[in-house]
Amino acid sequence: MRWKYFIPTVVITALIVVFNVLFLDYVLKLSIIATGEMIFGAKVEVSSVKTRFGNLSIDIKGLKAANKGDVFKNLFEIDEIRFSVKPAPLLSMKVIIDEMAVDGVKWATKRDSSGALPPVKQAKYARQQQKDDKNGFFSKLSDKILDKGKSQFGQLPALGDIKNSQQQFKNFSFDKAISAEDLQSVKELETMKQGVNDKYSKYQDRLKKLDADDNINKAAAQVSDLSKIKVSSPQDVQALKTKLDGLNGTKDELDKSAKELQNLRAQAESDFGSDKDLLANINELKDNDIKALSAKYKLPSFTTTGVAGALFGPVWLSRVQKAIYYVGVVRKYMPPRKKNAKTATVQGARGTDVSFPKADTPPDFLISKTSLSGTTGGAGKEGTPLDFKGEIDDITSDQSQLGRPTTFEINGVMGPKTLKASGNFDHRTDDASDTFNFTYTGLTAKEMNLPKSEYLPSFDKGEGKVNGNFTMRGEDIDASVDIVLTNFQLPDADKTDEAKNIVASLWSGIDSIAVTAKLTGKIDKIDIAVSSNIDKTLSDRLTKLYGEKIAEIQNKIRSEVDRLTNEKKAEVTAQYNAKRNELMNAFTGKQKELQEKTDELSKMKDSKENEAKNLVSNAKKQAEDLTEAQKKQAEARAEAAKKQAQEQLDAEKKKAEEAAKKQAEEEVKKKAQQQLKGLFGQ
Amino acid sequence: MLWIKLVKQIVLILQSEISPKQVAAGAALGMILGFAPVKCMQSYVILVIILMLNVNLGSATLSAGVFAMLGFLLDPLADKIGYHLLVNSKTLTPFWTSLYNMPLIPFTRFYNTIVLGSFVISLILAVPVYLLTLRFINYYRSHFKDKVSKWKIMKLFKVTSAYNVYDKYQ
Repeated sequence: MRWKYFIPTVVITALIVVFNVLFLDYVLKLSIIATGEMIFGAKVEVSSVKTRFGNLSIDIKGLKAANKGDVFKNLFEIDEIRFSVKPAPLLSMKVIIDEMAVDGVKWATKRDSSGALPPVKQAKYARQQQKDDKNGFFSKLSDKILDKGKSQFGQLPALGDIKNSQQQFKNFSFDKAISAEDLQSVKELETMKQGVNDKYSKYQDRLKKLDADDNINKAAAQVSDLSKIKVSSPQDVQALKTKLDGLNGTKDELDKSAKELQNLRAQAESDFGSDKDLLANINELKDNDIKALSAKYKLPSFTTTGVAGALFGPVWLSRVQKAIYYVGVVRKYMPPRKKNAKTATVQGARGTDVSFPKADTPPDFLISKTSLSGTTGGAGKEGTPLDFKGEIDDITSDQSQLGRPTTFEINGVMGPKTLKASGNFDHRTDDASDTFNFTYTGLTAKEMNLPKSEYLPSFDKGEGKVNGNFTMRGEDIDASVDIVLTNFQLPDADKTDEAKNIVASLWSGIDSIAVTAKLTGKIDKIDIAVSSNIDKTLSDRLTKLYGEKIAEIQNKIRSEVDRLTNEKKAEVTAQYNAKRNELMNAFTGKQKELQEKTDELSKMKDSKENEAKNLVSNAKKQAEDLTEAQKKQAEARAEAAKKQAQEQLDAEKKKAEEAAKKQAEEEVKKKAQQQLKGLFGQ
Repeated sequence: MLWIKLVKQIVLILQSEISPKQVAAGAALGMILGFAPVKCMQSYVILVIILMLNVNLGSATLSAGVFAMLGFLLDPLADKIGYHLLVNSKTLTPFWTSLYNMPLIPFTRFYNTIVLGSFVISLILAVPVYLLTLRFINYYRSHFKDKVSKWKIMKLFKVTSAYNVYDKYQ
């Protein structure tokens, strides 16, 4: 042993421990900042971190995380976080906190400096996030929603163009007819027509390639062959048996062909689908064609859904995208676990971490109860703030181990304002479910953060209510929001400002706005709907503002597109029905043929089997009769032999009796002579 | 350049009078240290063992450095071994479960596939590394030591403090 190294080792170890004890606060602060920046992708600041070894408590003050989407605002800020860690579980690398207090929560507060990370760090965290997001599901979903929104929500034209447009379209006429070749919907219908032909050819080829015809012919030959065989002797039965075995084999092949044909038919039916499925997307393509033509002729478009979507859609979608992002973060740090899985695996930077939770032991990370308090106010925010309180229960790394989901509830009341929010994050099985709801009433119009648009007036007064729901079960998403704004005061018309004048005329007489936005579906099919109570009013007024001529042109475009697509639609539908019916009839015919041949085969087989059976039973009966006759003969012989034996026995007996009788008489005579001799002496 | 420094260190150890067993033991323990990740408890424990036992520190340091680099190349194999032991071998699950829930043991991060796989590889290679190093040193010292000591570069090494320090690692 090198004892001379013992003291230096102890000293170095002691120094390391002392260093950690003295600088633990600083190290923790750096860790919180680094982790926060990685999660939120923006600057994170902490004023101070204080640890106490006596009760293993930690006190974090002045935590701020910037908003990467708006770098001069904070995503959230928290005045103070206080908690104590239980000592014993720490030895097993488990962080268990019974109670945590989070005070002074605020969001969207103003920052004095930019919260953007340096480009190098940003790129590093973006790469890390991409790597961690296993198949990029949440980012792909977010992008899909954005693309869907862009294609669905058009943009309204600039207000200033209204008067010019009236003049522009006053003497408008179509210089040439709309060509079918320009229409996406017509091209798609042509592609569909080709698709129907291709499918038809494909299934016809596959039908021909099936062995059905060969098997039918083979069965026919075997039946003919078999019909010529007459079963008249036991030797014929053996030959018949060989033929019947062959017939059974052919029957199996016919059955197999019938099954293959049935499967192919089912595939064809599924592939062809119904004519409704065929033409499902056509209406959407027609709308796109109308939009494209309107853009070509520089026509503004004011469908009822278009107005609400254009005004409120993009903002609504950006809120949903944020919600999806945070659900992704929650699912990453509280991963769902497969039901009944005894272990859980998490892919790390190097290797995979496998956890081995024991029943009835706490998970690796748990905050049982978090008391929350905060305000809706803060730096850079207008209006009267609302103070709220709430609780978050069971924040954990392994809900399956804990056996409970993470829930939260927040409430706040201040005068006419109320805030209620609640949520449930259930990741106990691999079919995770994340839900949260909120209702915020008594807002002022300014506090509602309505989207900025030159078509929307600035609502000086007014009261608002927002009611939102978000649910994500597995990969299914269902999000909705209802916004109601009442008692607002619109600005007066201003004859010197054309734009203000137009806005005033658009909104005149409208005293409430109710907007409903809904998003449902999965990543491969997302449905977005945005509507409001003022859609039709705004749409009609906008159309009127732009003049009736434009409405006329728009209607003409629509009817032209309808005419061209309807002609093509009829063609495609007729083609589809004809080919489908022809193909199904071919299937039916072939199936009938197979069935007939199978029945014929079975009938011939049964007939020949009966013939053979009859032959065998006759032979058996003959053999039985012969046996019966032989049996009777044998019985008769036996009877005769028995009788003869009996007679012989009787004769012998009689003979023996006579011999015995004679002997007895001799003896008696002898005895009598002796007695006489004895009496009279000699 | 790093490879020149490595060669120099190896030659100095071979040319010295340090016990071959101590050098071989240092190499084996250094290999285990090299394969172990830095931020785990076992690295510290192995380091203390190396310091406490009469093994050659130079060879331990050299070996740790070489096998730390090699460890990255063997990561895929270590990952497979670790995954097989931790996930696929259901009979070992109760054992891992009891280890995972013991105090202090989780600080070894044995539940990481690469950590466990690397540890298994280092245990398997420990004895062969010890024996091969021992044999090599004995062979070298009996066949090449005198020839190499006459090289001009060795004379240069001998006057430097590095050589003297190596001699002290006994």
